[in-house]
Amino acid sequence: MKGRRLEFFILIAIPILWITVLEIFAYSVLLIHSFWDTQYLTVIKEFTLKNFVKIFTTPLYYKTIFKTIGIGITVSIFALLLGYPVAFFIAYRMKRYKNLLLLFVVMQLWISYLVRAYAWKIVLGTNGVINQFLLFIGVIDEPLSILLYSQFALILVLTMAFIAFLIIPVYAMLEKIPQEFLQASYDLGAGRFTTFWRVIFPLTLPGVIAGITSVFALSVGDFVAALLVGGPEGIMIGNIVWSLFGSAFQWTLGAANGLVLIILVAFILYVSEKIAARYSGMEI
Amino acid sequence: MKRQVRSKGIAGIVTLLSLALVLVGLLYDSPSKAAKVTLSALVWEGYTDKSFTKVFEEKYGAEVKGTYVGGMDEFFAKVKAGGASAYDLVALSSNLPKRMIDADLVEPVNLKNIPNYNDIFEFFRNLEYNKKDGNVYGVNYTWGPDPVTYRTDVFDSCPSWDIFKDPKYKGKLSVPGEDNTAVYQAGILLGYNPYSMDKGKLEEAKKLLVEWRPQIRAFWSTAGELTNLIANKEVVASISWPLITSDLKKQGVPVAECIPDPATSGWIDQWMVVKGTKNKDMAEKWINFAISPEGQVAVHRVTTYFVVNPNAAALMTPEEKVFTHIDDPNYIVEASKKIMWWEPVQNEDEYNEVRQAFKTAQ
Repeated sequence: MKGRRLEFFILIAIPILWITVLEIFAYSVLLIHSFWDTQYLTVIKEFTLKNFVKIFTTPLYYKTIFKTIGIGITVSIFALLLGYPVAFFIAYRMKRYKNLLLLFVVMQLWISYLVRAYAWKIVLGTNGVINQFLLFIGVIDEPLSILLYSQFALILVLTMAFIAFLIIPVYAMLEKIPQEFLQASYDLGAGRFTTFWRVIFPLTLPGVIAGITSVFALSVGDFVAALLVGGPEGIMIGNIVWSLFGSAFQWTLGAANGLVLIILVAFILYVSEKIAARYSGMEI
Repeated sequence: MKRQVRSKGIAGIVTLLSLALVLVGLLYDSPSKAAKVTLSALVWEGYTDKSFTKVFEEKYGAEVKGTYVGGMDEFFAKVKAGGASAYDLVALSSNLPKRMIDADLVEPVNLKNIPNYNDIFEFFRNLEYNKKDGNVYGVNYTWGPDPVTYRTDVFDSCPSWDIFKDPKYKGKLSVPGEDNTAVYQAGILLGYNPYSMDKGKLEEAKKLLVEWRPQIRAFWSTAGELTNLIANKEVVASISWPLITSDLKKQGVPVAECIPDPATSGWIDQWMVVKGTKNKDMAEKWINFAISPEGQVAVHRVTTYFVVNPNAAALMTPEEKVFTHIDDPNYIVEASKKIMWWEPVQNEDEYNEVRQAFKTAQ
């Protein structure tokens, strides 16, 4: 018995260490800092609510936080609208090349996200592929500047960056639906649309929620896309937190901004899961 | 029975692992047993590049270990936390020496041990901001302006600051987004000391910057980013760094740089000795090496910054001489009339807020 116990401890020591150091410890430091203050280049270690008062009274912070959440929701919706059909197509309309197509979906994750964002700059830029094409066919006389360094570009890049995180879980759920269910639905007189809406979609809801959760959380916390393609309109709270921690040396305010974002996102995810659970009639 | 075997196996693995660790430790430790001085320095990136710390080590037998800071804030915080037990030297910008001296974190250097000090441009030796009570605390090392880089196929000559209000250049300009250069510039244009604006003056600066906002195509954060923006014609002029102009020229992009009237911001960096260091002699030897012609050319090649010792010219290529204006002692004097050198900003958080408000203005 002794030997087994030792093994067991070694085995669980790693995840426990991981969770304590990287999760509990890190979040505690964040939490504590958000209640401290910074003066010039020194952190004043005294309890204060100053940071939170500042966040909720300065439009710069609260407006950017809400804008960021808005962008996250928009990206999730687009990822769902574009990703679901892709998953559906791969699961039901493909027979021979199913695995190949799935590989394509996964493959984009092998390429660094930074490289993909840069690739979009080449596509969307003033001298980019799209502008050159539109100029060539004569649709426009002058390059469109809205394509890059805009909220449009930001939402596009975030959607494309994280869409695989929606396609994969949705596909997994679609694959699991027994053919008999669909057969039964048709036998009982339901059309294609009703079958989809009443049978298939509710059954894939856990996958949809998992996917949306990933896409939403990833895009709300992102600042790289905003930095690379967002331009002046596309600044997200991640960028502000980043600069508060960087050259600005405003760790305490940065921590408080981070904390507000974490709490808001956790709340939104909690509510959306509850709603989804009720809607699909199962506890997730 | 089986269980016993397994626990024996684990014991064996653990023993083997510890043996291996001991071996690695022995191997790792053995070559550096001789009592060798190691200088630790907290510096801007590139200031302790292997290409020249190696040369110093060969000459004086002391290793120089540099820690690069990620941002300005780290200098004060880290030296204050670690003191001389963590660092012997710091190399920082002109906004910090006064604060380091006032906080008693650095000590004066002995110029007798730094003979090369007498060779650096008189301009730098005459500066007061890194001295106190007649003692020299900071030895200048490199400098640079925050000039305007512009495309010569768009502008015939140095553009004026009015381009930031001219509808013709709407969505075609850029400024740095991750530091307060734009806020300083607004202060300069309003006729204030850009580093000591109070809330009211900052509010004016914000108003001016918000007027600039439609002109901004993108805020840049890294040199590579702005280089791309200008090369791809997304941006036709921007507040920039000399390194960026030089990179663009190398790529064959038609650009030039200038300091539009009345002035721009700029910085001077220096080496300082951390108070209480046990290696002061060696630290001063390092500083002397850093401002020697050899050290100056080396740091210029790593960073492309302008340097302070005119004797470095002898070791430079003709292109490097032209780029750094090293041959002309008057250049720094003339340039400094149009450069407001970085000074300590007391209310940095308010400056940051103005910058963020400018960035997020609709």
